[in-house]
Amino acid sequence: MNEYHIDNQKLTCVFYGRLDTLGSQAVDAELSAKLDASVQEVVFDLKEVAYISSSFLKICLKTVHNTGSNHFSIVHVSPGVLKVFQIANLNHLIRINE
Amino acid sequence: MSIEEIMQQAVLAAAEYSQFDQSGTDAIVKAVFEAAFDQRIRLAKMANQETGIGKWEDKVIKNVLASQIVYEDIKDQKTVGIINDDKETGIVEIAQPMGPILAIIPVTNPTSTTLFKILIALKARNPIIICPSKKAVNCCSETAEICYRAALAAGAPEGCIQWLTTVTREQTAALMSHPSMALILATGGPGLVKSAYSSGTPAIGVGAGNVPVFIEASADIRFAVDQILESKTFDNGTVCASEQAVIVEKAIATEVKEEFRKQGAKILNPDETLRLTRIAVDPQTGLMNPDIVGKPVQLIAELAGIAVDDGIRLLVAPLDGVGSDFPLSSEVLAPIIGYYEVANFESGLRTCIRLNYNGGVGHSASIFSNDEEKILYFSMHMNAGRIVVNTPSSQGAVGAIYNRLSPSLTLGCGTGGKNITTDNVTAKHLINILRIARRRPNQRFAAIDKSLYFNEEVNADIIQKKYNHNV
Repeated sequence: MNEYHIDNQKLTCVFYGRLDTLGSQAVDAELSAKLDASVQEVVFDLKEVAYISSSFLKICLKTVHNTGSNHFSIVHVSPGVLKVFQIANLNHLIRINE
Repeated sequence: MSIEEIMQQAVLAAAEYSQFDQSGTDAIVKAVFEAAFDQRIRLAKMANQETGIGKWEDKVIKNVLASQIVYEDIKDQKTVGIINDDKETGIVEIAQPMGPILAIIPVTNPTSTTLFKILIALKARNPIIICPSKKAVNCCSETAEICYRAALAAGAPEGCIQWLTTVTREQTAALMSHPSMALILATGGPGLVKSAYSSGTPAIGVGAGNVPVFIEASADIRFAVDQILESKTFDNGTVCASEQAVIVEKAIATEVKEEFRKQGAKILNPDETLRLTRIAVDPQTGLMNPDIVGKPVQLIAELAGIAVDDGIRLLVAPLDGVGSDFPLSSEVLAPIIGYYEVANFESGLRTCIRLNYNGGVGHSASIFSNDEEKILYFSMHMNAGRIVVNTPSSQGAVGAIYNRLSPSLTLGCGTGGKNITTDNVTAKHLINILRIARRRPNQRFAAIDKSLYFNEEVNADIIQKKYNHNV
């Protein structure tokens, strides 16, 4: 189960396992429910994620579009997942921190 | 979708696909092959109806080659992760995908080339964008959609196969030069292939063919003629590897011509050859008339005003030379073949060389012979990626049916054809190979007193002697 914590207008999303197409649909629905006007910053924690689909990458694009690049970041990416972001050419749009 | 949307979809698919292992990749390729194979007949009929080119029955065979035979060739190939580990040299090879591939599809083989390029791209974990000929948009779109549905059902990334439903020159150019495009697989005319190479994106193109077939004196004549007819009439001559001119030694010419007549060819007289030339080749450009490409003999003969019997399958046009003064000495993808009688083997070889260099450099050549020395001598003098022996060249050059060449609908023509390879292009050409180089010191370099390299009196022989000297 993914976890969502809101602390001081910052939404931290901790994801688990394979974020394949099906898993990403769930994330999309959960995230939509959590994101409201009070949220000023969004962080995706991918520490426990080993696989991401193009659907999840689209969620990242949508999120950075909605929040602005200064208010969205991804943390705790494995080398494998980091490479996926590089191949998708999203490293220029999204802050990705170890 | 806009070009940017297509490319974003492709790039995201590439990112996801890069995480697939070999078994996941192979499951997708298998599913696509099976779905394509199931639809081989319907797609062949669609291609024939939409383009008006060739014969649907032969397009079924092309679809079989592009699906089943290609699948069987690539299914066990390693294209993911470690593909080779040489303990002796310490070199480990790792396969990585290239990224989005743009597939340019020709009108002559639309569904088969689409199937083929999709299978080899997916096997290498690359998303693919199908850019069909304007005259074959519907059948290519249908082919791509069948493959895409099967791929998705097998777990492939969304957007791994995309196709253009309207094709413009500007759109194709924009896709070719898009910074995220990894590779162009360009099968088409010389202008299109040149555009691909000029786009700044790496490209694997193909060159034009002008295949000479030499019936050398030792050949089995009846067999040779039978095989040439099988090849040159296949899909009404649309295969770029089909024979364009037959070269025959005078000693066997009467027998060869008689055999051609017996087996359904019409040997034209000079007036008929002239009439055929006028409708087959554009006098301004010297290029084949697209209106006769892949058309039946009867229709071509009617256009030329040549009377032919119902059973005639091939028009044989005797020619006196090669080059612009003899327009039929260049490539014509139709059931038409040039014919040369030559004094002997050496003279025949010279004619083959002239034909080979008359617009077909690097493509294919063919010989019927039972003399091994002459087969080798002929081959050494051709500039052709594939020289097929005692084989119908249409079916022989594409591989796997009559020989062990890789099955392919993209035949590299080497630098002579302005291509990077002479190979039959397949999945292995669509991966980037990384090499881990373990430490394996060069023993000679380590053993030699390095100061010798700075002594101008010391040559390579002295270095070698020092290395070999037993101390």
